[in-house]
Amino acid sequence: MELFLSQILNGLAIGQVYALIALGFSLVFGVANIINFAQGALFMLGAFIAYSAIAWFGLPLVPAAAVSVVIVAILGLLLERIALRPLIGAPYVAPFLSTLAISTIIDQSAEIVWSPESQPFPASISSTTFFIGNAYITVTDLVIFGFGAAATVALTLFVSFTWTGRALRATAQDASAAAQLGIRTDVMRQIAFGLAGALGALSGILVALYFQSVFPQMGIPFGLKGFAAALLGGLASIPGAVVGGLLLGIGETLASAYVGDSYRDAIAFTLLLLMLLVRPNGLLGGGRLDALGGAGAAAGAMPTTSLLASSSSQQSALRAYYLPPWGFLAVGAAFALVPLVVSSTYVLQALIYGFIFALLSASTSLVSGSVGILSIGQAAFFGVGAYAVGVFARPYGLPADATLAIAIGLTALVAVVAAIPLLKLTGHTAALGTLAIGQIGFLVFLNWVSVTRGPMGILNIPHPVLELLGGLRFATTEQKYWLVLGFAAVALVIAERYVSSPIGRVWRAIREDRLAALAAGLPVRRYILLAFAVSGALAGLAGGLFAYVQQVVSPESFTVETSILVLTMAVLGGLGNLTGAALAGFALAILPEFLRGFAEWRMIVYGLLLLVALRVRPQGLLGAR
Amino acid sequence: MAETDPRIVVDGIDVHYGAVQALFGVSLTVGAREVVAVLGGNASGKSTTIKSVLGLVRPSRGTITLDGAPVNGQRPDAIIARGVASVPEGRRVFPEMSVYENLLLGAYPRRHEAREIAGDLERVYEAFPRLKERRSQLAGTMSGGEQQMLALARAWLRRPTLVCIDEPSMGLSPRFVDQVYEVLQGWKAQGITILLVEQNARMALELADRAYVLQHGRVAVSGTASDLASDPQVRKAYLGAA
Repeated sequence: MELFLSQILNGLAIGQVYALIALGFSLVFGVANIINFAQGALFMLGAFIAYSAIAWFGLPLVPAAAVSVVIVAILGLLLERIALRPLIGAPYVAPFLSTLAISTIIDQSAEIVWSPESQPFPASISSTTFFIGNAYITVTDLVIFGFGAAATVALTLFVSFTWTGRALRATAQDASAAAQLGIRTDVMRQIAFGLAGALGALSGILVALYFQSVFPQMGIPFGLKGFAAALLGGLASIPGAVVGGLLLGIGETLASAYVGDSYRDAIAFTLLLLMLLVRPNGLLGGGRLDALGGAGAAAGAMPTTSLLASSSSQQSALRAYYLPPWGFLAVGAAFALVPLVVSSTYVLQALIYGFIFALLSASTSLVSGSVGILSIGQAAFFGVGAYAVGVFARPYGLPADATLAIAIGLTALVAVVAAIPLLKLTGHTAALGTLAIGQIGFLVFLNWVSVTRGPMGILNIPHPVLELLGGLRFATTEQKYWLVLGFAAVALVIAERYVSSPIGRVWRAIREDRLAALAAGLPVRRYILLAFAVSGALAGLAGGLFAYVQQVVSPESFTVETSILVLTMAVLGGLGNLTGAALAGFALAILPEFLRGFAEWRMIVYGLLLLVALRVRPQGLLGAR
Repeated sequence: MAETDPRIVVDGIDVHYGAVQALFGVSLTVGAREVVAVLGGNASGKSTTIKSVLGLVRPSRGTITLDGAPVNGQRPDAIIARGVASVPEGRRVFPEMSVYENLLLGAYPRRHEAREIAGDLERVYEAFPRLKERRSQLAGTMSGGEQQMLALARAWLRRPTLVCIDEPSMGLSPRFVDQVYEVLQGWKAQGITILLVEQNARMALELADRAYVLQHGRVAVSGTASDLASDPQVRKAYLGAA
């Protein structure tokens, strides 16, 4: 019982921090109607700038924190200015992807500046412990809780009783009406981003104090938890964000105490998915406002219309260029000749990865483009396929036909199960759901040691043998090249046939207007699940082939970076356009081979590519379909 | 209209929404202390006209001048700052804010005049006892008619010299329509210039000095309100006369 109470007190402290991150999401979402994916990156920067101010310049904690909060608030303003303002009136998907790109660039830059390693935070608050009855709480917890609560109260007073605060809320509730009262809604957007930056920095510093360490990858998991807290509370509500944060904090602290610390994050993200399944409007954000016909901002993330459509005007007709299904066989046949003229295993190896990523990028394009559920978790499906081969190829000694069939079937199944919580969601919320799936996948690969061997990974995967072809063994690089090329070409033919068929048409109908699709009597859920099954099968095959080529499977291949990378590929190729996705996947996968020596700049280059593409050609190179 | 310079001059504006053109060379003027109504059926371009004046949409051709200065391409807040208030289409009160806060936001452009605002709030409460009763209630929980009163009162708190009103009778019961027009008659008596967009031509022509009838994005007829009210074509198309 004492442990239980102590955990609750402890959970309140960290929950208060989640509430602050959640408030950053809620403010920006309310005022700008954007889910700011870069909130996590601002959070991480807040922690690191405070870290540097203390460790490099010898500032005491409080001034260091103040400096960090100010700098990150300015960065928040810049973020709005650079990444979002130019995209007003662009397709709905563009601002979200833009914050995703910025967050990738910031995270990777942080790894370059501060090194990718975790570092101890150079300041701490006294670790004196208090007892409340038999439950204990540390001074650190108290200070964190106090600061978090004070910031929340200050924010609430600000938005309730100042002219700027009222104007902010007015803009959140009805931007057009606010503009007609003489409120500068563009300035309100900036203020929201600045405040979100300040809240992000403050929460980053408090987390650094709580866990006594900082690491450049901390942005995504904490950002995601903050989003979970915001969603729990109904996304656009300040008290909701606080309640959501506290519940999440208590929930995960209890889970880590009673289930195990390595499951702390997995449980938080599972809670997020469950929440999406049960109450996508949040605990406090009921349907009350919809019934009264008001508050577009509070009702949901985005209209259920196409991600590719834009709010500003009609779309002018955009042309999409794509291959017919048999075209993939023709291209595949042409590539099959390459080993006859090129003998460099280095080049062939690069091309093999190109094929695998073409497949993976197509699988992402299928759900993200054709069905319109932006997938930021595709790496999890990729990983399931790879681990399926890893687990069944060596200990069970199964041939490649069997292991690849298992990889495809199992991944399709996992994708379908993972899609269930996403069925009711559209737009940004669905995208964050897929991000949670990706994180859960990674955490399972990392922590389910008895099956995946955890961080060590599965080594020495044997060369693939196809029993159906009379025990044909693929041992050399050329042989593997043909194996991967053959599977990739056939899989792409099948996928393109789906997309070009009446099924593909229904998928696009669901993407364009889910309500209309439902009203037309289409079994929307079944079609979404089918899309996830097909996408999962493709990703599973890609993963299986990847395992055979690498001969090693380990969790770091399946991080959120991989998911972001393949989504970038899909967007660059033109969402929903498998030809474009395959081309962009192939090109971006072999690109780093030419940029060797710049390995750490790779994600920055991808992020910049994505930003530029969104500005210049949001429909992708070959055009969205 | 001759004795003073016009407040608003709209001169030959075209407005496009993407590939669709909504206005074709629309021109109109609103004189000082004048009430001008813009009439027309659905999708005739009435709302687009008022939105252009407020800076909510940007004409692709033509000019708009406010008190002699061009306002093309200016942001709504810059136009509101010049003594203009807006009563938007569909009322657009802030549903999750109290009646009091909604009213207060009407005075946003003159937010530094705290004492005057307090006095004007009292006057509003006197004129609309309903709003006083409900001042701490969330605006979204009121009826459509009450919300329209709130939107009118909110615009008045701007203490404007010119008000743009978009379809104030939309979706209201006849009793509330009468109340709305009573308020507008009062504003007219106070000397406030009004640009009114309305589908309810009968009510609008009773209030207005002059009117323009839009059809398919073009001005079809214009003239004094009494001329239009007796024009057989207008009577047939918009006043339901046989």
